[in-house]
Amino acid sequence: MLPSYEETLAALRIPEVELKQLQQVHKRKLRTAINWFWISAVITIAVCFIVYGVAESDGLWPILTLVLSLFCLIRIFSVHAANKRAYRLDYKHKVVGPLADTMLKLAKLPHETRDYEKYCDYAPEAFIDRAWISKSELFVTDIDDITGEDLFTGKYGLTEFQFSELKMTRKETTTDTDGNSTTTNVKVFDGVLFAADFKKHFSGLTVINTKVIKRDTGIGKLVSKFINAAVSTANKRANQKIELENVEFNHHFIVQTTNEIEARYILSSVLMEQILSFVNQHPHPLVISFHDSYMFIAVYSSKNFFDDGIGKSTPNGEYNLQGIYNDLSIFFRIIEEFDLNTRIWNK
Amino acid sequence: MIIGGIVLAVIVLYGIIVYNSVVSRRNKIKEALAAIDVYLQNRFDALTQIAETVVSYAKHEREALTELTMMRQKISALPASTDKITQLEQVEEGLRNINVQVEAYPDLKASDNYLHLQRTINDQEEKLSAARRTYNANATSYNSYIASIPNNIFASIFGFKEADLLNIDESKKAEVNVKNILRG
Repeated sequence: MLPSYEETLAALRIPEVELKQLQQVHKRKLRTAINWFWISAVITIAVCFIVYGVAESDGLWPILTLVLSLFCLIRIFSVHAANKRAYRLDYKHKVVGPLADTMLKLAKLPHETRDYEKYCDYAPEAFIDRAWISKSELFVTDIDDITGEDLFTGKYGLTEFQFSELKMTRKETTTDTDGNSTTTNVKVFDGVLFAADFKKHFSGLTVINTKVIKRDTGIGKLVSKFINAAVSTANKRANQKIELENVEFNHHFIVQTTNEIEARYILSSVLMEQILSFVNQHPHPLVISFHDSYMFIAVYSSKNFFDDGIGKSTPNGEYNLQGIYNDLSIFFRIIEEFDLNTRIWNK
Repeated sequence: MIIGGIVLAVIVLYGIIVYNSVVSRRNKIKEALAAIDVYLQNRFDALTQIAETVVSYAKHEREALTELTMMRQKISALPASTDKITQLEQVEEGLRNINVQVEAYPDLKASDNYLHLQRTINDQEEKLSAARRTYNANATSYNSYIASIPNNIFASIFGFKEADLLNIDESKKAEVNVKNILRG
């Protein structure tokens, strides 16, 4: 079980002095940029007065000084943006990473043995690589561009895991009747991809897709069947659609697989209940796949995970990490809720 | 005449579709049954290995193990069917009675070999359970298909019969008294 937010905060050593020093450096840089702007503005006004007012000529000096002032003004914004980026990166390294690691180190798992390990590494600018994305078999279309951030990797008990934010797009070219072609970026995925080493060994592919429309009887069932199939992101390799014994599970999900027996081996009645419980607690749409002894969960959401509260503080001046703690809990709890540390089978 | 011909053609075409669908469903049942056979064999092999290690400690069980292995070989030669599965499980029951004696040998029970075999058995149990669920799901689908109108007309013409479902042994449905088991 993960520690509470308060327990985690108490154990976490936030390098407040370092962060404050960093903020001071950034403030100094910004002040310098602002000062240069004011100097250039005063020079511009003075030059205009001298050239147009006193000398009454059409010289270029006022224009040059005006350009200089504009440059200084733009510089203020770019320095502010660079400061913000640098501070966020440093904050993530010094606070978010240690927060994740502390959460796992303080966690208490049932039936812990000496083989259990609990740690989490963090790379704020990295993301899950293309090989793992392909391995998940969750995205059937071509992917032209992948960006992401906040890569967490580690081990929680006996289960190795990794997850990160991902944005994936593909290029679509359309040609109008005049022969003019336009290329647009179409979003394939925006959210978090989670991968964990599953507790059983299997080689095939099973995909669990959330139903868009949930109708189980009458004409609605027929209509929903076509619509759900049309919007399905399931890999076409998993071409056997199966219905399981859990009626509620079948109501929420479409299950497709390359091997029906293997799908039922993975999806025991207990795991189906665990998946239902997880989905009911979290509102984001998701797709789950099981491939080559790994479990992948794609959480669709445009929310900026693991960034909430950076640089902000509570009314009593403490760092506000509740949002980041909640986001991390969602993914660490997957390992607990799906009981991935129970390894009583050969793998 | 033409209308009659069209109606006849539609009936024949529908009959072909039903026949092919039923054959496809029946093959899925056979596939699931074959998988059960394979997993039972694998589980039996793992149980036998445990029994071999127990017998090396408890020599008086050697005869019982040999008898069970011979019975198993006879049953293995039979084609896959629900009866064969029932007979195999009865033979396995005998193996489990030997294996329960491992409780008297804590060193054996803690050994890596034993733990590995136990995990193998757990694995085979899960796969067996999955294969049974698959069999029952496909058998139910097949039975529903040949029983529904108008498929039941074509099913009786072609001689398709209902498939048996795999049932749990009555003794395993009884409530388990853990205290009695632990007392032995």
